[in-house]
Amino acid sequence: MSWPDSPEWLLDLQARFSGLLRTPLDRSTGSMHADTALYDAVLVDAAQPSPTLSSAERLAIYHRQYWFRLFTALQGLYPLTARLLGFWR
Amino acid sequence: MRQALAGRPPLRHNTGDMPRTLARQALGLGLRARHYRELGEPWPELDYFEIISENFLTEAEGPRYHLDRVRERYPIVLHGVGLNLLGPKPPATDYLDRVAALAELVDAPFVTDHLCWTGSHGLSHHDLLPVPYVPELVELAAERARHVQDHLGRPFGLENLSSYVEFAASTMTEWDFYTQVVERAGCGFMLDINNVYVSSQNHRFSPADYLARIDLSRVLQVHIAGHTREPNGILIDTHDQPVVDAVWELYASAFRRLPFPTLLEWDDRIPPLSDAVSELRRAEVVRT
Repeated sequence: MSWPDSPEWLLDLQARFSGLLRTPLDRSTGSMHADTALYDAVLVDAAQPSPTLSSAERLAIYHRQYWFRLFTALQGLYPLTARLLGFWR
Repeated sequence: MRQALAGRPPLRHNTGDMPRTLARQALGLGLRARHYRELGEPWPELDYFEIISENFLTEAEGPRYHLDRVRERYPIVLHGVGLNLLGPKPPATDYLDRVAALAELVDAPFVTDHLCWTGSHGLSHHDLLPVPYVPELVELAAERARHVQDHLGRPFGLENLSSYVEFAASTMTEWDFYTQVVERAGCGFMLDINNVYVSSQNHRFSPADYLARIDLSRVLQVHIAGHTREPNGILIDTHDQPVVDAVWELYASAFRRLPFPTLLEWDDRIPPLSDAVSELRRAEVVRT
């Protein structure tokens, strides 16, 4: 198969990004939110801020989407289990 | 709506021989499970449907039953979300074989997927994730895309992303990266104009500059869709509402340069099929 290997730096970036996505959301305030203080500093430095959002806030968009896709799938496929695990918005 | 379409050339229904190419003016809709119960007489006035490849890489009777009903009446193109072109590992050994078999089954004019990564370390992240735009990854993506197209034995198109983050390591614009990958791979553009607009607002570039760089003769298909503006101003590619005027304007401008098949994606808060078709039909109005 003509499928060249990824460079090491890309594998490292993707491993860090993957770890960020899978970091549990913070529920300590009663609603789920992305705690950017927990983010990998190397990944945050690799991302660029925008005029309105920090690098971490931009990464948090992906972080939240990852979890809420899973929650939505759970709620759609197994609504009773989702309710037993706890209500969320 | 049918009255409004009076004078339009007859669409291809029940013709038996499906075309291997789509007319450049063709209008299509992304087929979703929500539509299944609405499909039937009268069949919608569409030129083709697009299916999500992974939803039909199964022998399960339900999806195949609906697929068979649709493919008897319309051309079908395949759109994948699981290739993971820029992921750490090659696709599973039989993944491309199964996509190729599905494309053969429906005689798809082309197959498309995304210029991105979707998982790593054995995990799917259920998202379309960006990479830094650098020449090293142009070569990598182009060689992999060439391999996919050769394996499928039919035209393969790469879709540009909506993205919410940029990387400090990037040395190229997104449109230079995208066009160089497609040109070096010898494949096609699956150009999503809503994604161009979303990313342009999030990263503050000119969507017109982006589209001007695209060789429209290589565009297999254009996607249009709706998006959501968050309270902080960020646009999210939600596919859950009608197409905004700014996207229609970009679409019309590009179409007037050189026509291309047009497909509406609607994936959340999906309206009745007739409403989705009406939204798609706006394309005919705005591009004249």
